[in-house]
Amino acid sequence: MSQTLSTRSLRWCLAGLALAAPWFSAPTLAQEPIKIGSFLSVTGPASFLGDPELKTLEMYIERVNAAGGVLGRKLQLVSYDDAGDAEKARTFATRLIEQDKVDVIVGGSTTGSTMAAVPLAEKAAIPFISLAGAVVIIEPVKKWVFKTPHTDRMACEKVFVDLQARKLSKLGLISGSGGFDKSMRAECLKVAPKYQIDIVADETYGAGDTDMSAQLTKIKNTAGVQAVLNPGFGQGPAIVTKNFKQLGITVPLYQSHGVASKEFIKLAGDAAEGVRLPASALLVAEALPESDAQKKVLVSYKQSYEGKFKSDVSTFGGHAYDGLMLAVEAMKKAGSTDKAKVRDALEATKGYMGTAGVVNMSANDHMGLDLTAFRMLEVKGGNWVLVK
Amino acid sequence: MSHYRSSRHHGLIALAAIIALLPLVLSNKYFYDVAILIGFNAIVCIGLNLLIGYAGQISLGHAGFFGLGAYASAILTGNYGWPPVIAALAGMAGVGSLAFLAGRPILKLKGHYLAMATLGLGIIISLVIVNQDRLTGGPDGITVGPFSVLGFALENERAWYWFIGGLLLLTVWLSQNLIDSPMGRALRALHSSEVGAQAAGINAAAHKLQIFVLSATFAAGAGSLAAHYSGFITPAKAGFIHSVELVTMVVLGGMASIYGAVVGAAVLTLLPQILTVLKDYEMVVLGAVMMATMIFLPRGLVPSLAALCERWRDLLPPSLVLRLEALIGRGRKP
Amino acid sequence: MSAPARPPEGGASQSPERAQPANRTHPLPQEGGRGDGSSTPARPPEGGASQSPERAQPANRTHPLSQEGGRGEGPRMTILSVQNLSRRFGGLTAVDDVSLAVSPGTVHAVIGPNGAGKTTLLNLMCGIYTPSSGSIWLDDHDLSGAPHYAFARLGLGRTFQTPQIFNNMSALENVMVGRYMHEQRGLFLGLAEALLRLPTLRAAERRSREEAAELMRVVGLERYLDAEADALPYGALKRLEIARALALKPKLLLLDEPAAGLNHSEAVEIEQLIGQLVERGMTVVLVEHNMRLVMEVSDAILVLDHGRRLAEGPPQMVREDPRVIEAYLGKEAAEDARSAVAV
Ligand SMILES: Nc1ncnc2c1ncn2[C@@H]1O[C@H](COP(=O)(O)OP(=O)(O)O)[C@@H](O)[C@H]1O
Ligand SMILES: [Mg+2]
Repeated sequence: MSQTLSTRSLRWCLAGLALAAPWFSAPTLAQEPIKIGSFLSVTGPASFLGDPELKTLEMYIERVNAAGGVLGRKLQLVSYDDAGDAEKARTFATRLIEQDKVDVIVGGSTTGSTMAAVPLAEKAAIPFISLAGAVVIIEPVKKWVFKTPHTDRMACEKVFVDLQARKLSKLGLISGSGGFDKSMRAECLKVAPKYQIDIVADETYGAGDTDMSAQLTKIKNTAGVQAVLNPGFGQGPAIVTKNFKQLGITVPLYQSHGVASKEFIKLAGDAAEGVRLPASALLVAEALPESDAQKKVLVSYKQSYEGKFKSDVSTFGGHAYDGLMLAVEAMKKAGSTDKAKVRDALEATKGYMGTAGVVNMSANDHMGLDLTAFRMLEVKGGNWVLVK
Repeated sequence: MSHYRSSRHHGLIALAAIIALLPLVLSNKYFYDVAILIGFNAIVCIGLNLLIGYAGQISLGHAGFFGLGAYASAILTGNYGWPPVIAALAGMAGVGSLAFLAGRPILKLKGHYLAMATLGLGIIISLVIVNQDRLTGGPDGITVGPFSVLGFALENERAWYWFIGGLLLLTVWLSQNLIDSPMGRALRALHSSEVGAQAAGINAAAHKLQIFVLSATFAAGAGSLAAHYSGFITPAKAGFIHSVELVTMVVLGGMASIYGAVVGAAVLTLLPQILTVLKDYEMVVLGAVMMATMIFLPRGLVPSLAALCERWRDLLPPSLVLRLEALIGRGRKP
Repeated sequence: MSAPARPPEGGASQSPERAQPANRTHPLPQEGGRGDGSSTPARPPEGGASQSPERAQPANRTHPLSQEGGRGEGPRMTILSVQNLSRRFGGLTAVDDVSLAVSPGTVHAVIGPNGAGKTTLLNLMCGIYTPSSGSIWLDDHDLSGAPHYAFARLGLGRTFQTPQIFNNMSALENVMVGRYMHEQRGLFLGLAEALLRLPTLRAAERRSREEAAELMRVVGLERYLDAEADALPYGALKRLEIARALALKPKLLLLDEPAAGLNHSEAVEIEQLIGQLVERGMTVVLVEHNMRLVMEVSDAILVLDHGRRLAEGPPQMVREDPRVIEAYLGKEAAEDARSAVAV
């Protein structure tokens, strides 16, 4: 809190006060900050999620404070690194609730760490906005738990809608064995019938595999395959794409939002031409037409992030942005930090424009995104292009 | 020797007193949570120390056993509706059998080779857990219901605290009994000189296998309970990093010291909670603390400090020395 | 059991050359196995026999090394029987076709220069090494290829040239480990009893401590009853090992250089200790460089050189054997030995 005060002496005074505060139990200053609690996988195997998330939270909390804060109070971030360990996540969530007494939690980079903290938030009755993907977080609906990222299921649905538009119905699946891969594969299998999509092949490859020709050959030899979808994350999809081309398979290839980055095109090279995938609009922010209602927020976030951290923006940081802003909006609307009121305001969110899309929450939808959150992209000339 | 036995009781009493008095300073659920985690880790580490510190056999796969216990409880109670206690016991029995089967070939190896083999075993277990996603929920993890003993459900942190505290005391007591029995002497003997042990008629292979199974069973039991306590379990708990954490706790606390395992678990569970405020420097400082400990207290916290006390006791009045000694319990060399 | 089991020295010296055939006789009761060992068809022609003319003689039934001769009439008279034992390490044959029979209550010494294969022979006789060829019988058990601990369980105790002390426990506990096989109750029952520290175990432990303490007194370590093992001086470690081996209640004791590395007075103490054990009737196989000790306590001596038997017989005979004197002991040593016996 001392960061925002202008003079040095005042800063020291306040620091002294802060140190002394525990010794006086009663006096709570009127200007006590609003505490935003967060536990993120900043290090460890899921640091690609937690790192941009933390940076985003820090940057925007600073900005909100510079603009006068919320309800006349500053925001204070209390964040812990769970290193991708669900048990640590649970302990840190307990710490946020019990020890730091935060007003709201925006965090949980992975599904595992989120799910470990869900019972705590429910028990303690504290609004918890998760930044993780899986549907289980909000299905069934949990009173105090919300989430900002679109789900794997929506990615599947986006692909299926595109297939329908191209009058294709027989799909071959080839998926990896990581968490993302498995979860998306399962969701795709679940919703396929709803879109009259026939999964005619269902192949998998291992985490470290360097050649998927065998699986792809099987798919190629499956009668009637009209398209192939690769729910995958990491290096696998680039290899699949290369093998796909080498085997001379001509049906359309779909990748997932898991590889929606320049890196994928770099790895897959020429073979990537014509590959389609559903992705957050953030990836093509600048290419969106001016008429796109989402463009403003996307470009602003992208430029801020890339300007400050000199690294490519990621959708994950965008989820943290959305989570923080949803919390801020809800507190403004509730007119207080009363947890029940903030929760109600969150659930009543309508038309909020975030990096993931328009959010319309309800009592039975604690995510509030629809398929427009995803854009269908295609690789053309070594770049992502919007499919009209 | 009566000296050792009486100090053993003093150690237990001291530990019981700490467990009984700790709630006075545990001002909220977070502190309870940390205390409970220390308890779980301590139980696993005591079992691991029987294997590593006393019997001299390394295991870098213990998290695998812990994870199997946890998933056995999650799946048997969740999918098949078994009572938690039965599920936990079944998990322990299953893990014990697995350790028995895997241990027979593995424990023929020594040193680095044994480390590699147990490492491999742990990795295989965690891969199976990740890949059997229909049963285990895969990498995302799985929800675990609450624990209940004889119809009495452990609902809040307090209940868990007393339960785990009691279990920790029981584990310490059982392990001390084991160490101070013919079997415990056999284990310590084969650690010190396998040839010497065999000369006394000790079947070293059988004893190594036995302690490996026992230690794996401890880990599985702790895993079962930890899963119920957490309410959610991910494959990370069965993974290599967790195995290394456990071994580190044992080494830091002190090999061949039961209280060392408890202290090691406590220190390495607490330190990250304290150091987390350092953010980016957390890991550096944690590493530095551990290196410093191993340099200045090479036998681990408890045995090295006990040895220091022994050296200092000549400077202190004898009556005080007796009392202190009783409190610490005599450190035993690895 | 001591006195009758040890035949008079005179018997040995009277007909030393007859000692050998016993070594080639099967330890189990055999009809007509006596005296014609050298011609037993089942055995290949013994290199040892052809080398040592004295072995060609029929066995003398009164000789300590040929007590099996009595087996037809009464109790079996060989505890340990080693036949044509060889052990190769790569190209090196550390023990080469050695045979040996040890009768109850006797002290059988094995001597030879460093590297002669004495320790290897002992290690073969207790299962630490498995023989490349040949067999080992303990009582009527064929233990060739059996694990080390199995020998111990059949009553074979041993000490090591380099003491194998358990430094992670007290001296007393070291001796208690020696009682292991008398305390052991199976891995599962034993485990339950140990974990729960049942009253039965507590009583057994008390007895165990008392007996171990008594053994420490026997070997003269009463000063170290409360000491950690690694606090003991080297000489005491040697005795601690003997106490541990005795805790086994062995029928047979293998001692590998018990006096090595000790100063004179310590060596004398060990010597006295071994003397006491022998007096109590303990059967001993002794590897030792201290000739005075060897000559004093041994009933028979096996001389090894380069893994092979150079000579074997009662002390007097070995001492007087010109080949031993020339090839191994040397003249001075021979004189030493003579004067030692004279003491
Ligand atoms: N484990 C082993 N591996 C290889 N060579 C060995 C081994 N043990 C003993 N030897 C060799 O066998 C020979 C006899 O050694 P040893 O029995 O120790 O002799 P001694 O006890 O008579 O001094 C030596 O040349 C020794 O180097
Ligand atoms: Mg030797």
